[in-house]
Amino acid sequence: MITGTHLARAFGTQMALSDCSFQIDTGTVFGLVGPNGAGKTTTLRILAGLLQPTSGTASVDGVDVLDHPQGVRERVGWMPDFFGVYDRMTAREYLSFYASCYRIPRARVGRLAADLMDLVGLPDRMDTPVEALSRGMKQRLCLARALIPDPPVLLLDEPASGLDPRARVELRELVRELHRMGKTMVVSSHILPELAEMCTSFGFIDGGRMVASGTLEELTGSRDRSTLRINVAGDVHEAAAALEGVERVLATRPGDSSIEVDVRGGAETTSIVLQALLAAGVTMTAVNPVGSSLEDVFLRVTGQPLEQSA
Amino acid sequence: MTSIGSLVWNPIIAREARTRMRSKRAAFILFCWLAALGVVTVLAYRSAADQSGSVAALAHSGVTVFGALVAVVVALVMLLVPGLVGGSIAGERERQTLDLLLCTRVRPWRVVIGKLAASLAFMGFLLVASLPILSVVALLGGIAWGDILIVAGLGALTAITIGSMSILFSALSKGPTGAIVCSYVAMFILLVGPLLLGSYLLAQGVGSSTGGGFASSSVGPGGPSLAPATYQQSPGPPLLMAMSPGMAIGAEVASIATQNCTTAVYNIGPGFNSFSGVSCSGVTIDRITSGPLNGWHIWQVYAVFAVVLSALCIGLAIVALRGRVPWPRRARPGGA
Repeated sequence: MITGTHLARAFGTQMALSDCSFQIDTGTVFGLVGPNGAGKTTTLRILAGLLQPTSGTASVDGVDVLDHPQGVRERVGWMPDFFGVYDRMTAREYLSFYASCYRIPRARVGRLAADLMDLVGLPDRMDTPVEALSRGMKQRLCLARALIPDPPVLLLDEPASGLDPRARVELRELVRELHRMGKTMVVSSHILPELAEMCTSFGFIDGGRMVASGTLEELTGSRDRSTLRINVAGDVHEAAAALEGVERVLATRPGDSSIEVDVRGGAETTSIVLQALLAAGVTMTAVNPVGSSLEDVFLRVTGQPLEQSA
Repeated sequence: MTSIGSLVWNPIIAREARTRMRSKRAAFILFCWLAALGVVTVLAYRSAADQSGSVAALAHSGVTVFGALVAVVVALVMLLVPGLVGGSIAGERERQTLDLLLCTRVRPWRVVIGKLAASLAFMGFLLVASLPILSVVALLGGIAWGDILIVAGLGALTAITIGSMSILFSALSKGPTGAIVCSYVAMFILLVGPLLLGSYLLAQGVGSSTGGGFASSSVGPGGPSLAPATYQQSPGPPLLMAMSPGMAIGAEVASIATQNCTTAVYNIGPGFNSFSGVSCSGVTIDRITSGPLNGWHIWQVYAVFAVVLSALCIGLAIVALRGRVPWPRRARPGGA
């Protein structure tokens, strides 16, 4: 488990973090979302044991970042948003160097490097010079480096930035694979659809404070109440009438060619609504949830005063 | 891993050495290094041979070549070390690999020592590569191995001292350019600062007295003699001047040249003790003759100063690098 309690960090007179608290359960993929300068990287660097908070405390896998920062560094795989590689080294030598930095016995290094390169999808790049790798390959190599000590926690700062669509898909698959392996991951990103697909819970940080956190359903409130927009081919009023009295349907709002339906409950309610409309002979062309995407939540929690969005 | 293996464990040295040797720059430096030494050796040897009018003078040519080689090696060391070491840690910071390194089990002191050792190892490699040229001195003869070792030690100590100052600036600077510039400035101050300041103090008559200062041995036609100290003053300015590597190494080389003349006289015998055409006569300053370090060779004073300065710079560099990432907070009194 990862916890942050009233974390604050000042750089001169500038507060990068201010009273930031959160809790991340073991085995989750936590998406850290926020605008530029919100404090995402500062939070991750504190959790990586690379930056001391001005006040507050945090712990990673039960280890306090203030009392045992070195212990935290050894439990965390850290992948920064910008990172360099050493020139004139092959990928194998790059991983071998970091493996020796972690004091992994020399006899194990070769096999470990091969396994990690296989895991990140670069088994045929072992002897390629690091500087010759593409940006996406370097990202994956850096992830392999972060995995060398087999850390229980991975901190990935903007891992998809600068990647082409194919590399993003590969990275997403890699994160999912690591999730299946039981790693706890904190991933910061601006690319919200990517986060929505790879993360199991989210934290929205703005102005140095964690303004909202939870699963997507919890954040959108869709577990208790959600809205569906249903495009119909025929009369929208007829469709609205078909939903009157249907279980869990709270309200209907007919539009020009669609109706918005407020329902109680999450995704399972959608099937009830659709069955009712089909039974009434209504022809539907599209069904979409309204205001339940990560972008909607992002805009809501960062576009309103903190007191209201928290 | 054994305790000794654990102590000397430093993966940075191997990586630095490997990647450095793979660069074209390393080959270029090696070429320039060997070319400079080769050219100077040939010129010095020809100059000595041209001026020789006797066997005694020919016997002195080894000293001439040795002096020229020492001057070139020391100059090249001073030219190369700040550039090699100055950018090492600052380069990691600029490349954004320093945090990745500090996330591992490599402690800051190993980073500092590893970077310094790797750069100095490259200097060692250059010296080993130039052994065939340097061995010309041994072939010509006239210099004791002990003297060669002292000068070699002083050269190595100078490289370590300049390297230590450079690693400090490298740990403090945000980028390699600033670190390298600061390293060259510090090297220049170390080289000429003590000489200028000491000379200024001497010119101002600071601490003037009789019976102290440098001791000088005088050698001229007719044989060697211990002349009374030419410069009489309190030990302050001489001690200050002794802190310059130029002064220390120069004094030692000059002292060797003087000894060589003495040896030549005794080996050749009466009738051949003319040193015309050989710049063997003169005054060599090689000892402190007053104060608490009375009797110390200048190179000994310099060696102590260099060791202290190096240790200080390395210590400060480690402190600077430790400040880069958090370390365990001190236990609060009566608390957890």
